[in-house]
Amino acid sequence: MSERTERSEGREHMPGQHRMSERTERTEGRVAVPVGHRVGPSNGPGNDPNRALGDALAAEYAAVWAYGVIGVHLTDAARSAARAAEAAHRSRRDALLLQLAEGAGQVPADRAGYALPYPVTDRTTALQLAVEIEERTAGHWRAALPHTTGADRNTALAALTDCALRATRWRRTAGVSPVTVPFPGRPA
Amino acid sequence: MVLTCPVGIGRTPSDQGGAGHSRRRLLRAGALVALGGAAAPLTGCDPFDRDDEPPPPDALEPLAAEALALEARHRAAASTAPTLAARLTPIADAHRAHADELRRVIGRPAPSGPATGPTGPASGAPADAPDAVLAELRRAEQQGHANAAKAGATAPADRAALLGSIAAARATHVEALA
Repeated sequence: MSERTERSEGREHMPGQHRMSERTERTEGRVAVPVGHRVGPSNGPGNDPNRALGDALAAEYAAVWAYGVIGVHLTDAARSAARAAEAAHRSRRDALLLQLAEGAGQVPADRAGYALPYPVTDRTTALQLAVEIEERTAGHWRAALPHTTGADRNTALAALTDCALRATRWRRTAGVSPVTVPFPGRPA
Repeated sequence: MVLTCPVGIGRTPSDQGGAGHSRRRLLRAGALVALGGAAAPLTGCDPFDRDDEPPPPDALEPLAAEALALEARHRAAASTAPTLAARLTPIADAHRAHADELRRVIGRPAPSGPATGPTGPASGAPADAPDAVLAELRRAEQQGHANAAKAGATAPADRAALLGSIAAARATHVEALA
């Protein structure tokens, strides 16, 4: 799973053209599940920063949507934490939208809804989904790191770290042990 | 170091001729030797040259050493405060995994020399209350996170993702130790 493989694959992609259709095929082929969308060399963002950030944006859309489902099954402090997490993802989403709109490439659009990987019916499944959403979003920000430099690199680093922190807090809330993973965002 | 290269010297005996030209030949041979010496790092004509000029340490060496030091601190703290072992052992394991992965990316064995053990006060710390142990480890992880984030901010593309995960992991350790 070396990043080098990811980058050499990326050279086959022409930036700009066909990007949207490829993305649509890839996500629709798997019913746009917010969790379980594989993050790895096989569908990595290539050597294109906008595409990498577009993938991060798509993950942020799904995270915002998922927290709407998660929040209703939580109460008290956990519900507040879900609201705060949703706000954080909205903020990343909006920043990405602004940034990508300035570029020449296409900006992925949000979807009306996302299929869930399993029914979210109670606190346990809601917390499980919250952990998975954060790890998955962390994976997309991590995948953006090799394609960014300077301020964009720092933004991606901060976003990856924030997702990892929330995943850890959700594991603690859910009583999952250990609360950390060795390589946040790394594809399994 | 340059003079040990055999490239130029090897040619001189074949045209040993009149003594009158010996100085010129010697100069020419010297030029060849110098050329050979300059080319040594590329051609590998004298592998022993490398002993004189070790490559500069990899930029990730401090981070790899820090990962091992953090692992040692968590293991030491787990034995000092056994009630914390279940929390600290996965973190120590993560630091070991980071060190192994950094070593793989560096592609060279750890530099020899005095072993850089844990630099923190872990060994000298008294058998404190778990709270004090945790606070000490949190500070170390915070510093470690800052160092990893700094390295990740400017790392080449093929190292950025690994450093990002390490920085993020260290941040989650702070959280796990709270």
